[in-house]
Amino acid sequence: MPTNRSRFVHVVLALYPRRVRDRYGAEITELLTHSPTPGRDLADVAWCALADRGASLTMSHARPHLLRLTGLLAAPLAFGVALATLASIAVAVLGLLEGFGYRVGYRLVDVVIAASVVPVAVGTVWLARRTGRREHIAAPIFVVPTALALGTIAVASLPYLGEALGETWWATLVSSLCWYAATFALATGGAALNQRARTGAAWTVMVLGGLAILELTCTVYVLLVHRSYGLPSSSAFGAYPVVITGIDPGLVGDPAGQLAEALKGLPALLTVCTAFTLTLVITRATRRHATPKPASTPPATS
Amino acid sequence: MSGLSQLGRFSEPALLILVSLADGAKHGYAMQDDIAALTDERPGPGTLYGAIRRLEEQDYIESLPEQDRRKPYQLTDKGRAALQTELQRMRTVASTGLRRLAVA
Repeated sequence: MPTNRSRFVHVVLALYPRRVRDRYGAEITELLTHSPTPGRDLADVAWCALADRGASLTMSHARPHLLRLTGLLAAPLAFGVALATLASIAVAVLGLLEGFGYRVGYRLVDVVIAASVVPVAVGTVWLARRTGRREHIAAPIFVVPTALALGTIAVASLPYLGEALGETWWATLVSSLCWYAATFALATGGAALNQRARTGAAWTVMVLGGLAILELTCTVYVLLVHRSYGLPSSSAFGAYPVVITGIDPGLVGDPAGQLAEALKGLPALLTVCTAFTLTLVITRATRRHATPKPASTPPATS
Repeated sequence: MSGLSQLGRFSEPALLILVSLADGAKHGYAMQDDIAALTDERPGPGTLYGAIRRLEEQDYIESLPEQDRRKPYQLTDKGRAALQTELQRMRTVASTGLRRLAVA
């Protein structure tokens, strides 16, 4: 059988519910292998497999998947609330310190607010590892970034609250879509490396790629809005590290404050979403790689 | 055809499978060839095994031990009776239709 046909056969068989595939998969493969009309027969098998899949999908089967999907869609809102809460606590503590006579500069306020991203990011990494080990999320490379991007766009679309993710809604939308496309591509590459037992390389690629994605996303946002803020386009490059750390080591210069004003909480939220997505994808890929496939049992004869 | 009509869109391929197995056990590939000779249309593997699965669930056919890595299927007594009932019903419908055409 030509390799390409073998690959297609594998794909269409995967569409069947497992019990049907286990029982008739070998026989269907045999017919597809020797089919004089492979295109038509592959389409026929795919159609019947999807029909079987649809027929076997009941509400009780779908409920856990729907709950997980709802959780993923709501995750950006939860992350945003956690970020805002920690930032508020940090500001309140600094206010108290100032009340006791300590001098708190604006720069320190920026740094402390920025630092509040760290515990949320650590928490999401823990959550992603736990979710990746315990929960079954189908096609996480596709589903997780898709759900998080949609959730982020939904939060950005909320009245009042949405402004916390950047003052310009359509720039937030474009940036979120860029984040989605780049994260999907990075997760695909990272998972492929991990499946080839190159876990160290996968983590390195994920971390460096994740930072590059966040820089790209913020650059896109600033390039889209810089005119309305009177910012030079050059300020877009390096916007992410300056806004996320609250420290400008000379990357941006004077417009640093305006950049933070324009981007608001978007870099922090996308940082947390990136950490969650990449950790979950690597955890799932590691788990799949480490779990031996069950031995196939011969089909029962009646 | 209370039995085969329960198979929905697979009722026609199921009938053809039963007809194909009426003269002896066959594996999937042989059934495809036989049905193609009978109807000038070769059923796709998805359609064929969709019908086979439903016929097995209804106990109209049963699988036999593998031969040359191919698994043959044969009619059960229940399947033979269902086929006979269905073919008689079709003969009645056909003869009635033909008679009325002749009258018209």
